[in-house]
Amino acid sequence: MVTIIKKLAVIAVCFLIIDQAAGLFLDLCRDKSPDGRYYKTKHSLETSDEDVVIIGSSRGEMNYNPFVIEDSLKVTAWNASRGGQGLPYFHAIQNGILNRYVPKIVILNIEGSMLEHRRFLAEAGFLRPFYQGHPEIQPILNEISYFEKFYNRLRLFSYNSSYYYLLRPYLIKGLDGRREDKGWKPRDGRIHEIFLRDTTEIVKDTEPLNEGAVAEFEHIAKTFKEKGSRLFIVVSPNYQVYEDNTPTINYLRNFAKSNQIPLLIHSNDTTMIRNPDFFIDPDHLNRQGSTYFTKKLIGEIRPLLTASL
Amino acid sequence: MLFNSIDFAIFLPIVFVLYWFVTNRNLKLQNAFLILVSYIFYGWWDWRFLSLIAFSSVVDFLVGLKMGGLEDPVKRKRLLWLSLIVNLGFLGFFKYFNFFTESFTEAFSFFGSEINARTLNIVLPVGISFYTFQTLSYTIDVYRKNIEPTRDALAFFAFVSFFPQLVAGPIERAAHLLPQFYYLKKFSYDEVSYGLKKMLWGLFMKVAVADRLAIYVETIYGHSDLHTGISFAVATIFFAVQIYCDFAGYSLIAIGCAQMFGFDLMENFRRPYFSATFKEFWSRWHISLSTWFRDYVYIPLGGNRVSKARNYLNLFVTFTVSGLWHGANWTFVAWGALHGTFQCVEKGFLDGLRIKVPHVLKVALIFLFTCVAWVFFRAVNIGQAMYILQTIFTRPGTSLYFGDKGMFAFSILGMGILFANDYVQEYRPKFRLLHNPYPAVRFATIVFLLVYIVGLGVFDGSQFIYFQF
Repeated sequence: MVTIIKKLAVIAVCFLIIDQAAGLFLDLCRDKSPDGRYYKTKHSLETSDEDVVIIGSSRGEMNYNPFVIEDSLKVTAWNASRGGQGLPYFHAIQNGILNRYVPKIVILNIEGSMLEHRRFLAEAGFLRPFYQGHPEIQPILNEISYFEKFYNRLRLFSYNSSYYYLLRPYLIKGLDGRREDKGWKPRDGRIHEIFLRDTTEIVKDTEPLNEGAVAEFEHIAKTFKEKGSRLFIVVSPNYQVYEDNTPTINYLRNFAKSNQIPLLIHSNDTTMIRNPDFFIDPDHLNRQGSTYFTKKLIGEIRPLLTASL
Repeated sequence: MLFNSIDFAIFLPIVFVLYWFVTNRNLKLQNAFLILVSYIFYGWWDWRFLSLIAFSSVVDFLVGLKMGGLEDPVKRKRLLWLSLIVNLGFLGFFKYFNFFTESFTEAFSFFGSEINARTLNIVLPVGISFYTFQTLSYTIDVYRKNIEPTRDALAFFAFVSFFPQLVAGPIERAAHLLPQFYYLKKFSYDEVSYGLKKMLWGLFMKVAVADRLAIYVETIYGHSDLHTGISFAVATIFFAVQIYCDFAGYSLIAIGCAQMFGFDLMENFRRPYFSATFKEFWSRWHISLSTWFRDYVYIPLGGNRVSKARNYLNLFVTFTVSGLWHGANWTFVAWGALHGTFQCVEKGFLDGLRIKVPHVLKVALIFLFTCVAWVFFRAVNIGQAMYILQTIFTRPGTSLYFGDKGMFAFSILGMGILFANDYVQEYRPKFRLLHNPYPAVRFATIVFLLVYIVGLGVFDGSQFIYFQF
């Protein structure tokens, strides 16, 4: 028994040495990342100081053109959205930003059924490489599991499965979002013909709202408002999907009204949702669509800003 | 409790220390302790279903005892039927009630009659197919007088509920495992060391290969209307490796875990994708189940001591029933029937052919046909399976969907390591790394696997596929 314990101890020590050494290397790769998702997240959490911040998932990342916002409103803009993420990621990014400064304007992209689904908590594990250096995001990641605070002491665990996207920007630049695009991921091209259709699906969800998602959304929205940011909640368009009467949208209408937060719904904008030239796939706008949509959105936001001044 | 969970990582060392330091002087205490921790292990999932295991154990223990004292074949058969009805009754109710109800309803509506049958909201007890088959094998073997009935209740209860193999096998036979509960275990460094290494490799197979592949497979099979034939083909190959790593990984952890407590469980997988015939495949894949079906279904049906036609029927029926054992869905039945057909064709036509086919080509062909059958195993219904096969063979397309390229790359890497290991074990055993004669190689391999598992494993607490069976 003693022999086993001794050998297990030696293996554990060796493993921990390798783990910490690998951690140092991976931290360096993360901090010096030339572009891509880790550069973007680091900027969002640590160095962003833009007047306008866009927060969302992949729709947020692709559908909002920061250059249009900058030109139209004469401000600086940063798109902090991240594909495949949900409210916990938004919350973590919010904490990272508000820990340092208060953006003048925040555009929060919410999907038409987002508050009916799970919170995408596990997906926020993407932020684990930033866990140790960012106490403000730890409570959110700690919700993933009770043991998260222990797991993240292992650097290899924090970087689990991140290596491809962490190292690729050093070899090939611009594949995962270019630095000069300010967080936006424009996509060129047109929706594939297999997705083309003549009819529009009118979404009539009857799913109940997810209490956890609603609570997290309310926290995010109210915190931005309390801190003094002008918050705009936006529902962006999907190809041939008309969403205007989902539990999420109905809830957003009530919430926006009672909290005096502008809600801009574009999932019912038939000029956009029926135009395949605007889309790269059923859920995301292409460069042309994104630019058109952002211009249209700013056209709605500008008078609201002026009115409040 | 899952082997790949933090709960088990805490549970195992506590049980290990108590087993070897507190209960190591008394056999009854050791067995009682194993029953207790096995019930905790199972009850962690849902304690209500412990009553099923306890009831099956009591019934089969008493049936065995009673049968042992009887010579009258009629009375012995009655007792056997009692055990069969209780065990298969539980299995039938929990696993197949809704399946048969729905199937009958659909069959009637197909012929124009409408019947109103109610399905029930039934939770399938984890591992019911495994422990039911294990305990059934005891009563059948006692009935056949292959083994003596045990009078040691503690040993029998520990045999039925032994936690390493309780929920997903290997399905042990009483003749092999039960006697191991009759003697006090002595701590052995070698046994514990071998056990830990098996557990490590099993964990690698599960979290670093199977769960990684599952992400891609789910993406493709979960959205079958969006993908090309090439993507389906790749996803099916991935699934073939996923299910192998998932189940063989579980079996290895179970075998290694049992070994740490001084028990020897049977080998359940022996690199099945290196098989050159279907017969060989089934002597390497889920060995404990295929031998169970051989001994308790195929041979009682007449095995190969009957006419050729009847022999083929026996093979086909055995494999079809084994398909149904895997799950209450026609897809599993189709999977079993396909394997039955493969076996019949191989036995009936191919065995007699004198064409020389290179070994590697045979292995590739067997793998290919196995993959065709896996499509049925993975699909949600027969319609989806047929659509996927049709797409693979008639509309392969030109573009392969990679999904997350990082995940895809790590999937290939994991499969590469797995293939290298299996190849070495199969053809170059002296180069085995985890059991290498040089301590430095063994040590480096262990550390590498730990680093790989922590750095590239999937830790989403996913269940082992075979738990659902």
